Amino acid sequence: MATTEFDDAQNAEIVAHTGGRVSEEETFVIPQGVKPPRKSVWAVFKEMPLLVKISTIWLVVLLLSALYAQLDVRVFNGSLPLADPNLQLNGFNPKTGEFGTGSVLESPSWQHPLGTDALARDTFSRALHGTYVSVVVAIVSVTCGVIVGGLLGSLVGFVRGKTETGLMAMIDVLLAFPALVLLLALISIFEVRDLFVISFVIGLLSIPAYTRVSRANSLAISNREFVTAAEAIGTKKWTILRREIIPNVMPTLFAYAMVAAAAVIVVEGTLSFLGLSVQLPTSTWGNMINQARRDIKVDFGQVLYPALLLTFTVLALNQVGDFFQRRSAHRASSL
Amino acid sequence: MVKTIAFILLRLIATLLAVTFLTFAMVALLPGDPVDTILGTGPRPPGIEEQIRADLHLDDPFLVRYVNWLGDAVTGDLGSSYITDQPVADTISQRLPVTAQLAFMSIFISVLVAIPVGVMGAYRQGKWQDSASSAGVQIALSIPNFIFGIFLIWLFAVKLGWLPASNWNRLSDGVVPNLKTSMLPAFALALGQMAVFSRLIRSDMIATLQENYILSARAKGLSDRYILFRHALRPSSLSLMTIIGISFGALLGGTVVIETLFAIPGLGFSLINAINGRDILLIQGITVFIAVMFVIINTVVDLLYAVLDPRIRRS
Repeated sequence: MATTEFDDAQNAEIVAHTGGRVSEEETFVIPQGVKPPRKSVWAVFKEMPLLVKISTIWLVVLLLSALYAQLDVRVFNGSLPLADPNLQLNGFNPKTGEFGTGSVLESPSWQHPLGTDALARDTFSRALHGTYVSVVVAIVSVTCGVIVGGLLGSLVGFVRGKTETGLMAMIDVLLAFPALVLLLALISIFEVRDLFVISFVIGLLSIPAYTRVSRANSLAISNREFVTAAEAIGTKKWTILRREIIPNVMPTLFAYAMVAAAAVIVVEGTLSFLGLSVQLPTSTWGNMINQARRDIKVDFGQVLYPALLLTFTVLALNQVGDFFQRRSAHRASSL
Repeated sequence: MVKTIAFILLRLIATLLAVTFLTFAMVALLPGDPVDTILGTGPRPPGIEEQIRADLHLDDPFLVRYVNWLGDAVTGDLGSSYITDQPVADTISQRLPVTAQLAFMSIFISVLVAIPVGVMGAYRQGKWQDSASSAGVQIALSIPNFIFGIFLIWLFAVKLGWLPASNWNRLSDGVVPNLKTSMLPAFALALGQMAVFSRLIRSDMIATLQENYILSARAKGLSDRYILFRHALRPSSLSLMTIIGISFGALLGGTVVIETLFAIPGLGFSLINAINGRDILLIQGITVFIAVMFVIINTVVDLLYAVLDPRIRRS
């Protein structure tokens, strides 16, 4: 029997699971479950419809520009070609020796691609720095949701029993609050409002929804034949969870995470619009919109640019999320 | 059926207890001395610390305090603000009608728009009308309500000058002045709901249109319009009702930001003011009130569902 190293290892594991009662010679050729070949990122990208492709590119560009803005401030001390986001009219930045050159509410020009705001700060630069806040909040929330919510949901959906009843009752109570109101109440308790606290609270509040989604999927998968088969040959519960349940819950959860990230970005935008997110002068899309709306009669553009950034980002995340949702539904039906 | 209703009511009580407990705990378990949190760092009038301690029974054990607070809350006593001295319950009862009006108006608008859009999408499934309405839904779902609100202000207040950008006229000042100030915020709130509702109606209708009784109605020679709105729309109303109940939560959250944007004296605006002023008791009161409302509305929807749906009613 010509086997690769991988096959040997898997056979050995199966032997171990059956308590070694099946000797090496008696083992039949173990059918190697038909695994769809793992597709490269590029192959998945080529599969996407045009609109989803554009959305993906948009998201990647956002991520890179947020990184660029942070690199400029943290590593290069503002020496990369990007205006200082906080330099006001007649302001002076001792670090770079730059003087504020803009005037109040300029229209777009080469020097200020999106014009300047009411304090003569460069809107393009502020928007890039605001992107960083949205990106961090989204990533923290998705990480919390997928790791904590995903694992909890997979676990209770598979194990069932009292653990499930207890946990889901707690989740139901948390979801019984209108999300934004609970978030506002929590935020109002913390006196320090920095990016860490804001993303932590939002991340914490994302966990219930993720738990619910992954539990529903875990329930469905636990009833499938391959799980029953694994149980029949005496595989340990923990191993089934790790090798059968979680890998099959994750694709759906990943698709959900995209859509949830869009919602979280809107929530952060709403908070900073209300002045309850990261403190000024740190720019976020929400507080840019809030500041610019006072001059709406003079310059609608200053409201429009951050508003379009926010809307396009949400649209892009929804498109990409829907695409992966369709893909994972297709995958689940062919398991 | 009686069993279903009993179960729903039991769950209501359990959820209410849990929700109130959580809201109470959030404030009561604040790090540090609650008196310091309530009073902040400003100068303190003499004797107020002792008064707060006595008012909130801060020397009692935590559970005793919760039971006392809950007992007061049930009888409508949520304490008084330490900043304005006004009873929290009074603030809520003054502000509630405004928020309720906004919520109902926006649901009314969303249903009014969503029914034709959803029915059209299902009737012309796969045709350009369907694609257009789906694209519209996608875009509507992606525009945050406060951005849409600002856009409405820019268009109707700044450019066209038809409606005021902010302010609020009460219903008692007359219907037309009230509508002038409530139209824009209600529309801003309705956008997301419209999209959700029409998507639901479309998918529901597509399923319904494949039923045999639609085929027989068509065979009888009834007009398409009659079949769509009289025969096919009815069965979708149950799921529409459920989603309306669920979207109340999003709506109550949405009123917070829309009321702030349009400077409307509703519950949400006073919640934001309370947060900015660190008026802890008012924050607690409004939060618990909104959460309880939300839980009750969802339960009522569940109950109606149990009563109206023949499949559940007969079981």
